[in-house]
Amino acid sequence: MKKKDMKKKGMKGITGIAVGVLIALLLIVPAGGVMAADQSSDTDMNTTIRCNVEQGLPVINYVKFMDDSWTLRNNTQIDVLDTYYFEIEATQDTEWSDIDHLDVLLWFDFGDDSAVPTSTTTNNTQFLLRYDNSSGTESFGLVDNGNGEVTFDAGSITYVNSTTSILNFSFTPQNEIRHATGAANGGPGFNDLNSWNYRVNATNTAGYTSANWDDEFGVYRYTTVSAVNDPEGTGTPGQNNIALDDNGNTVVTYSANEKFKLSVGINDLTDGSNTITADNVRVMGGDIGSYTAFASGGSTQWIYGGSASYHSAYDTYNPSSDHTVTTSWVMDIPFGTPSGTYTSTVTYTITVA
Amino acid sequence: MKNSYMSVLTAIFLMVGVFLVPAGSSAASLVSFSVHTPGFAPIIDENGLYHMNKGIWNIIEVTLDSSVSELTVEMQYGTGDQNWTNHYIWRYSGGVWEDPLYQHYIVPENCSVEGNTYLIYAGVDYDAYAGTWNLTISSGGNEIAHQSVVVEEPRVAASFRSADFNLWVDPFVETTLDSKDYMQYFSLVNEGNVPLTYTVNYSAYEDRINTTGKAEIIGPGEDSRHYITFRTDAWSPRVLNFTGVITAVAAYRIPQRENAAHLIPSVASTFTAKIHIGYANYELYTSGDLTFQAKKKISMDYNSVSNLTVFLTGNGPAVVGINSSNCTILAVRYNGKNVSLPLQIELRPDVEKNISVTVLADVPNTTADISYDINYKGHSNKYRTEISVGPSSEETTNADVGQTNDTHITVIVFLALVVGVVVVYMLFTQKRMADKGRSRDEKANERRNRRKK
Repeated sequence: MKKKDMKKKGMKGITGIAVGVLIALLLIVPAGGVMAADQSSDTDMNTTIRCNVEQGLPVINYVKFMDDSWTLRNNTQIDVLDTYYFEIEATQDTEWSDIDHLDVLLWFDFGDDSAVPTSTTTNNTQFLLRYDNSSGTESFGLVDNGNGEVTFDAGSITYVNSTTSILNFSFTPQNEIRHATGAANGGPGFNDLNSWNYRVNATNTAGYTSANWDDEFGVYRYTTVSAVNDPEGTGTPGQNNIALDDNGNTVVTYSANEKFKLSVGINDLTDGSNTITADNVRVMGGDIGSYTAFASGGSTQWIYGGSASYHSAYDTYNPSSDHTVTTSWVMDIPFGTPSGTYTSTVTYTITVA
Repeated sequence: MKNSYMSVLTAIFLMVGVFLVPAGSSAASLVSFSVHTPGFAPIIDENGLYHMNKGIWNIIEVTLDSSVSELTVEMQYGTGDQNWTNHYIWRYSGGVWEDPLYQHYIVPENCSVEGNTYLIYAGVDYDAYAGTWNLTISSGGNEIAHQSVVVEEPRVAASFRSADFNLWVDPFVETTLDSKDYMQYFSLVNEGNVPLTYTVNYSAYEDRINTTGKAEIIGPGEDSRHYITFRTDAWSPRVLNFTGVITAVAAYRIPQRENAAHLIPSVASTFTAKIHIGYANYELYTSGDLTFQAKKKISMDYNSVSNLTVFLTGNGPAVVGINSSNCTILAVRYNGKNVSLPLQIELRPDVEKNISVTVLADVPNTTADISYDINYKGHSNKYRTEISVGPSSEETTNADVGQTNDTHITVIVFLALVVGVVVVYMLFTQKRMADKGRSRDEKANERRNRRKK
């Protein structure tokens, strides 16, 4: 009988364990709302939900990419040397301080929207703007600047409430930031090839990253070209190979934000009605390895590139260095040429792809 | 003797008088001086020296505190033999302006006197030395002031920024497109040290293009921004391509004096432009006189319905077949009525025919497409609209909660630990109660046994 009592008590204990395990099992059922009928478990459910919220994903509410007149510039071409702005509203539904950082990654897609760069240090085609809250002290900056082809101007934050803030970044693309044609198709996402893509996302302190906010834009063409020292010389009729370097050879300085070609062209030289045809003039420099004559009546020659080809070293450039090529000139003066001052315009034309 | 003595004294007094009394109004003194290219501000360096370019006309501006009937400005570089490389004189005398040394480096008709200010339109030869020159201002043989002037090599330099112009107009609409509406422009910045004149030329359609706001000359450091307008006719769908060339050359060049061959540098850059006679965000395909416009790529939510409209022009009968992949065509409408496929239509060059395709995106998370097969004049022309279909709501939810599920695992582990502790605690309590019960029974038995004894 006593043993029976003990057994009874043992059974009661086992029942208690079973109830405990059952409660525990009910507690660990994750589906929201399933536990609603069990009041004793409701409290625990609430605890569970609260844990989830603390680990929730940050949310990018909106992104505006604008120029200095606050006109939206996504899916348009932007100009170099003008300042542009990102306005980004994001939420971390626990509290804003749980945001670790927010990134704006920008890159030229090189005709492939699926390739997202992992490094932004390579050339003038990628850079990364970041809001950093990881140390508890907020900061804004340019993590990588793509060989100096962009300057970071300012960053600021406006707290909307305890969970939501609006971040502002401003930056200025420099001369040789990559030209991009594609931005014709509207709408969000990456839907134009050969465009600049941008991806905005936020990461919280638990390491979870928000969904990406993707869009794109294009970049204007930028070129510079200059010439110092006019090709000039004197000679007598019948004299050949007269160096046109009275003031030294002509130095041409150039830059471009895209593959480019650089040509030099002249017309016939004239003095009133008298003419020295252009085929008496020869030039050398760049890809023109030896003195080469122009065509009579005028023509162009390619210092770099060709009619259907381009020079592609642009992406190693940056605004702090000039790129120069020296052109040398010689000419013949045909017999019977009347004395005079014969002139023509020599045009250095830079064209990007 | 006395007379001769007096004569000598008189001569001495006369000579002294000549040196003491300035000729004309030589008592004038300098109020201000500057050198600048016509129409532009002077360039002054950090040492306060004025800069001028050789081979370029400049205005030398001299203001005195009183007017003079004769004014000479002389510029000299170094001490070598004097020629146009290192020595110049410009003179105003009796209302006449001249270059007494070379009769070349002054433009008298552009010189002027304004009150006590003398404006000399002059310059030095392209072959003159670059460097710091001495400039002397004098009147009636009396020096008024000295100045140093830096003569520079002219540098023709420009930077060019331009959009890839893309302007749209609907077919059969006559209008004037303005690139300003598209925030598309080109600009020229004078990066050199001489004023630039520039031209803009187009490879085609010059009579339809207008370049806005074009200036005659831009000075060093100045920029010039331009939009283009393009006048269209009521054209059928097409794309018009042309290029623009901006060419800049130094303004105010001094003509060469000596016999020489001289190539005058200019710099240029190009931009491209496309005028789309077609619908914005539509791809225009052409094949002979057939034009077909459709969206190249769209996005749809799973289980959503969209109407895709395509536009055709041509000249003659065409048979249109439309097929789908990974989506369902619910209806095809032409002329406001549902039609069956293949569809026979009569294309015209002056009127667009449009076909509307109602599509259901019934396969989630996939790339679907609608393909169009236009049989026209014996040729089959195939076009395609790609549809990116989003995930189902279930997938979306799963994707959304993906991170949350990870969180659940953490919570489950935590709760399992709690349950474990509860179980251990209950087992422990149970054992303790059992032990207590056993101990009470044993003690009662002992008491019973003692009483029996």
